[in-house]
Amino acid sequence: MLKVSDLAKSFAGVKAVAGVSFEIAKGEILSMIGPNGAGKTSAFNMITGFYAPDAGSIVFEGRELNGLPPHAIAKAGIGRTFQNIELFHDLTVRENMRVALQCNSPVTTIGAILRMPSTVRREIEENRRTDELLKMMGLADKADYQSSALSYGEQRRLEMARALATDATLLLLDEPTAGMTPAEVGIMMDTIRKVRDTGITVFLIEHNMKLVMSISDRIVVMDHGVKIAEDVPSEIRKHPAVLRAYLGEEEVA
Amino acid sequence: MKSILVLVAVVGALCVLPFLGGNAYTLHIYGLVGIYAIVAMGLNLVFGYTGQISLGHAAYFAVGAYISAMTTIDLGMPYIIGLLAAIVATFILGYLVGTPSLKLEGAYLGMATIGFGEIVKMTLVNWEDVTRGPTGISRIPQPELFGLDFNTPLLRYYFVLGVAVIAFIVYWNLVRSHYGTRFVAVRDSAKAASAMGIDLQRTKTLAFAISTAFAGVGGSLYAHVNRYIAPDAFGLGESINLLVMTVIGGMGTLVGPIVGAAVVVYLRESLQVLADFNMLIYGLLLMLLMVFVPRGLIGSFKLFWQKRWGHAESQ
Ligand SMILES: Nc1ncnc2c1ncn2[C@@H]1O[C@H](COP(=O)(O)OP(=O)(O)OP(=O)(O)O)[C@@H](O)[C@H]1O
Ligand SMILES: [Mg+2]
Repeated sequence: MLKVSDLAKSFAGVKAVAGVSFEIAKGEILSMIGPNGAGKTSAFNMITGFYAPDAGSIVFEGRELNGLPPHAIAKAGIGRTFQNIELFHDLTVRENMRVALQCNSPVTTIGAILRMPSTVRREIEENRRTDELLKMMGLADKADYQSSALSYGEQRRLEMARALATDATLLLLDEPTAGMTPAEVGIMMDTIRKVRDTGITVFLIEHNMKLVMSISDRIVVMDHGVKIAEDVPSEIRKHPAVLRAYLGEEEVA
Repeated sequence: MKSILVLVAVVGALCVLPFLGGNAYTLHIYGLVGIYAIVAMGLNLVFGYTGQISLGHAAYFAVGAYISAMTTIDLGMPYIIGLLAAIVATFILGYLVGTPSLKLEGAYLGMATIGFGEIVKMTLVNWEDVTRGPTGISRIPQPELFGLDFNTPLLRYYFVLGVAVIAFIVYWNLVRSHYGTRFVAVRDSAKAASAMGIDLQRTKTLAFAISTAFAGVGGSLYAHVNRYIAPDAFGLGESINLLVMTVIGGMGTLVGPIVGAAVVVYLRESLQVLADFNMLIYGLLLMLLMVFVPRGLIGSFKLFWQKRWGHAESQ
């Protein structure tokens, strides 16, 4: 589904990502782990068009993405969340969803100005889809809340719901459980599984080893901008290079 | 449904307003409020909702006024053609100027828009063959629609009111449509907006062009209601006034620009008697408003209301 080859990016001499290649297969949950500053978010940012790669290629369903702006990549079917939550804080939960729902079918200016019946019908259909996604994310009763009034865990789940509302077929999640309580982590784990079960491919950056080990089909391990391992969780657990990279960090469970 | 009833009630009240002791002068002032409200609504779309500053909106107000006046006088066209020409010209101009300018942000965008505003003013002053230079254009025909002349102050007031109501409905529909949410999305988080498939550049430029078209409508009305225009009235000071209307009423609130237009026009007119001191007092009053009502009149009222409401609910 997604094939990344020899991806590289430097910032003022610092090699954030130094020639990384991997593939994601349709329907799997692939996790990317690695110590702080390993280049995980930078890789995400290149895949989603926020950073222009210095070198390499990113092919999504047969199409080269390198060089496309973020909005075009979103339209192509890659949704994402951000490490530091990026909600539209002045909008309600429903309105946040609405922004995402127009990703592939924006209304016409004339339709909006004249408030044509088709515009109104469309809003009704969007409300239905919003309720459906919010329900899946456990936010069913929060639709009319100001998004900034949600709890931390809810905000993260709203970000996910919003990414799905773009009709993404590949979902990139950047540390979806950062700063969450164990209970919230459990909910998030179930939610990610639910999302995968609807046929969506998930690419996950995560520091929570327990979650990563139990949820992932495969794991890519990054350190200092390079990929040091790629395997199924049971192998990653005992991989010498991984253990070395994580020495003094979190224990590999 | 409730909001439509409110709109009907307000428009009804504005229709009887002239009979509550209005003379030609007060009618003219009410008309000005309507005209400026249209421009401020447009500016609110780009500044309040989309978060992009424009310090040059007086230029589009001027272009609308001049195009409309020249279309009717020099080309002998009916008023409606002048108005449409003003809308089309300012929309296209806004699109052309917005496309490069809106790549800039914050203070740089502010300066670029000031620059364009000055270019327009210079052009109005110096291109005498077409614009009549610093003396401006006088004896502009009053508005006329399909043979109906708006030839009394009362009729002109109704004319402005009618156009303002249409402009408000267009603006309101935009705000509550996907455009409104998309504009706010761009303002709140450009990153997330682009991850939702929003082309930032196109969205900002569209907001800008729509807002300059509103300024064009205001300009056209101003030319034909005031019946005299000159470059002096369309400088940076006027651009700042327009921005002040948007801010004082409450940026990014639906009726903020209308309240702001009323406050600014009222202040400006009532301070005329102070002659030399009027700008000083005007500036001081604006500063006080900004300090004590930083969210704007409507914004603060909403906050107050929410607090009371929330309080009542928790009891
Ligand atoms: N926009 C940027 N400008 C300059 N340096 C950057 C930028 N983005 C990333 N970097 C640098 O690139 C390196 C990799 O950062 P990145 O955010 O990709 O790491 P990460 O693996 O996501 O880390 P973390 O687990 O802390 O989120 C770091 O040295 C970081 O400082
Ligand atoms: Mg990161």
